[in-house]
Amino acid sequence: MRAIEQEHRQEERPSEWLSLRELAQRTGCPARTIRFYIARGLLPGPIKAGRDAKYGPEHERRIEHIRRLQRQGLTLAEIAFRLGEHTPSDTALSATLWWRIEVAPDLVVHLRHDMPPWRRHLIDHWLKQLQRLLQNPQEPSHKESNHEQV
Amino acid sequence: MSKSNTNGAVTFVPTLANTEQPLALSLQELLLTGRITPAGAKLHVRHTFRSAHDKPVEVVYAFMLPRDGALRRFRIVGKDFRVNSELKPVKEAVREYEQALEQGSLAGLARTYRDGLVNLNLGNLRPDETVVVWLELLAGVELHERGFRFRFPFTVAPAYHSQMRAVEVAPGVGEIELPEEFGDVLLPTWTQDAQKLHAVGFNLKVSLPGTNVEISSPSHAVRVRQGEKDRFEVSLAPERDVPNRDLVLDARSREPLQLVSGGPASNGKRYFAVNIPASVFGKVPEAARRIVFVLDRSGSMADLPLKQAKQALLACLGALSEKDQFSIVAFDDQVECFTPNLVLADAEHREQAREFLGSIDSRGGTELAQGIQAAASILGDGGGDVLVITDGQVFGTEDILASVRKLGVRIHALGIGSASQDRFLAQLARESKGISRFLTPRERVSDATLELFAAVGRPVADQVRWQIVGPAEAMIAPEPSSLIHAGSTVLVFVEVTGDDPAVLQVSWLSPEGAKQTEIPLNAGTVQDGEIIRLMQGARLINDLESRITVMPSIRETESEVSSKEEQKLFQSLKQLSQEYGLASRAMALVAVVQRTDDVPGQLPHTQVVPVGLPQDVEFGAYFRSNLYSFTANSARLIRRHSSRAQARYLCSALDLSTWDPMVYGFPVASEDDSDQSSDQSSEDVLLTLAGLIEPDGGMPARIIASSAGKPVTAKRVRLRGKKDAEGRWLATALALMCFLQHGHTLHSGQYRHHVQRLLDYLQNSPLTIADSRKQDLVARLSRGEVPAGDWEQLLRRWLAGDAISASSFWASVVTQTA
Repeated sequence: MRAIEQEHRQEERPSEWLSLRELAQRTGCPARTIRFYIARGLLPGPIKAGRDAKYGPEHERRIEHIRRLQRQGLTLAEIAFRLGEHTPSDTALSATLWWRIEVAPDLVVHLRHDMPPWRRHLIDHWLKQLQRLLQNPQEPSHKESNHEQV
Repeated sequence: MSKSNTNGAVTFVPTLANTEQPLALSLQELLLTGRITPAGAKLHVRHTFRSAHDKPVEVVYAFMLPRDGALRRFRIVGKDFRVNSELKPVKEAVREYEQALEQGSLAGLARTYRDGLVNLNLGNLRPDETVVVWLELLAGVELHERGFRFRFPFTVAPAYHSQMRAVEVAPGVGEIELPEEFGDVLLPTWTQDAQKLHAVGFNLKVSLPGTNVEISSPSHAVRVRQGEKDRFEVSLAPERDVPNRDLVLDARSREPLQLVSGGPASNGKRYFAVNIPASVFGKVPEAARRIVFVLDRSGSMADLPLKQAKQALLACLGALSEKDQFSIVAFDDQVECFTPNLVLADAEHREQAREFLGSIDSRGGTELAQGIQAAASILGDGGGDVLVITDGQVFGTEDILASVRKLGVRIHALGIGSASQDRFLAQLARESKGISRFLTPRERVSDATLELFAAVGRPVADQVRWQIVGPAEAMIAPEPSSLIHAGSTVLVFVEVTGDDPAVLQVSWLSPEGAKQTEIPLNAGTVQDGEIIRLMQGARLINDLESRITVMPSIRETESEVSSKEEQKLFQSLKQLSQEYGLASRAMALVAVVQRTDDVPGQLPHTQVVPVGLPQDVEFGAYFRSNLYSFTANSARLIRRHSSRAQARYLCSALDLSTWDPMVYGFPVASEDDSDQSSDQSSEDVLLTLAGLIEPDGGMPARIIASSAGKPVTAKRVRLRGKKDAEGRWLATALALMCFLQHGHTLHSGQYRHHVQRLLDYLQNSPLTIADSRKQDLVARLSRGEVPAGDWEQLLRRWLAGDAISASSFWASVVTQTA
């Protein structure tokens, strides 16, 4: 998100700026959905806020990117994560809680305590796979996923 | 979350999960008012919005339309304004709404999507502003012979679609996203704890003519006040409630009701609604049935609903006679069949069926169409009935209807769930000339199930023809079913032009031959043709919408729908909407409030109103189970993981015993779901009995009890018991006495078929013929006389595994007789 804000500042080409209606027409993404993306932090707010808000080409690109990721089966929560909403805070001296998980006697994994639950479920799943694999290296790793499909 | 203020009064302060931060709710309260009649309901929903944000917001409230529901109009009311909505084609309505938002004006848009989902949008609600939206809608009711059941969704049920994506975004908060074919619909977020959400309430007028009318609710605590004549006022007894289940209201009279209501409407025509109970057509014929039970075992049925569904199915198995043929299909996203073909309902097959049911647990998605397809292939060319037991929690219902329509089988639906999908199940059954009932998971299954089952496969009238005699111009629409099932009531909508007296003429074929009846369409008690006209419109719109699988495009440059066939249907839908003044997927409602100090170009913050996860739906079934939903969108990967099993497994596999389960977010439910049969109510005992009746109509000689105290019938014991004719005779007599004592006779009560079979068994038993004492008792029982005594107590002991002692049985009978 920070990157796009910087781009905004550089993006001083008002000729390419669009109104929300134009952005919706251009991307095929309904205006309400664009507002929803902005509210969810998937898209930055307008380049020029307040009266006569304007949007730039980066908005257009990013909407297309979001749509593409959605079609691949990603949820908005994961897309927001990928787009960098969850980069760790760089404020110095802020304390963070971490879970320490012993996957094997010689392997420890640390997980941030405040990660979203969906991501936690995903990581748990892969850690479980990893642990199995470490315990029984002969077992083909795809066996588990086949089992899930039964 | 409720905090006392200084006066000691309790105020409602919604808070955010985990933290005690107040939650900035924009929808504060929802109040349902209106009138419910046997022809349908006209409702007003008051939504109170108040923004706690420091900039303008756009609030999106998603809700489900009730059965046969359609939106008529809404009104936005604020401090010094009051604006009514207008009905416009979707594209135009969206454009108008967007323009208003650009101008900084307050605007409302109510738009219907697939599956009867509605998004009510309120844009540019200013900080600290309170705005009320009054939404008027029409709804249908589930008709029974003696009254009706009304359901109103206060929440949306999460539902399954093979390409949906569901995730837990915060502890106890879930989101579902649907593929593009569903348009830009926004689904609510679901929260496990509805206490933190907006308040709901209701105050309704219910009218049902008839004697000894009883109004009750299996879902909410209600206060009922009888007004003049047949009118009742029903309101929520507590001050407020939470949005985590449907409101369900039952209105029942003592006798079957034939009603005519209606009168002149605003367009000069007369409109009538005629309720005709099945008993008008005749009695249920005795005929062998061909039936396939289709049981939904998907993850969303976990725990209570599946338990209830199985219990219902067991009771149906008990009501099958030896000549009936049956099979069972259990489905999630895979299909499992009890047998590849229909089998006779003899002792062996029924025992196997019980074992089959015992092995069914909940898992996976809800591929309903596949389940019905499997049932259709089991029925083959011989015809028959399909009874689907499901929560109906599916998205894309129009696709399911389309594929089921092609199969041409008769489908009956028993819905189970605390949030409404009965719009879909009603359509499913109606389209195939079947009937449907919808239960809430916490109510007793016996009544509705057995009533429904008694009607299945034995229609009381066939080839029913409907026509209007008298006026030159009259129309019946939609076309009522040509097949009538026992226990149901047909609702016929009639439109009459001119003032000539009109008569509804009904002719049909019953087992006794051709019959006919005439019902004069005099305006009944309610001279309200306009409401009937609207209800008819809502029905017609629902029927047509169930055939349309696409969403109209709202892009300026595109035509609304691409395929020619759908274009035609859309055109008809638009016309219907315009004719009746009701919204549909083709026409939306929009209203704009221009204010002098509107600031153009500002971007409101879009906010979706959260709803409560329906009571008895396991959060994990949707939001913690599909580990893969965000890495692949294949249906097969949205797989079974009971959240509890998963939690246990992960905790043990990763040695996470030290993890705080609250932070971790797994449900901390106890493992022990065992039944306590001693806690069984009388109704539960009767239901258990119904499920135990053998194909020959008698009871087994003995039951052996499991360690948990739950009665388990073992095949071994049954076979041995078969030789124990005396034991069987006693158990059968005892069961029959128990049913009779609880008011179930040969002619009334939902167990009447069971009573008949038990009595037949006793009357035909060689033991009865050989013993005058038995003859006497059977003769008395056949007249409905029961020797006084605590037969239920004796039966409970028998159910717990005790044998019935002949000497003590006869001692009780004789003592009581003396």
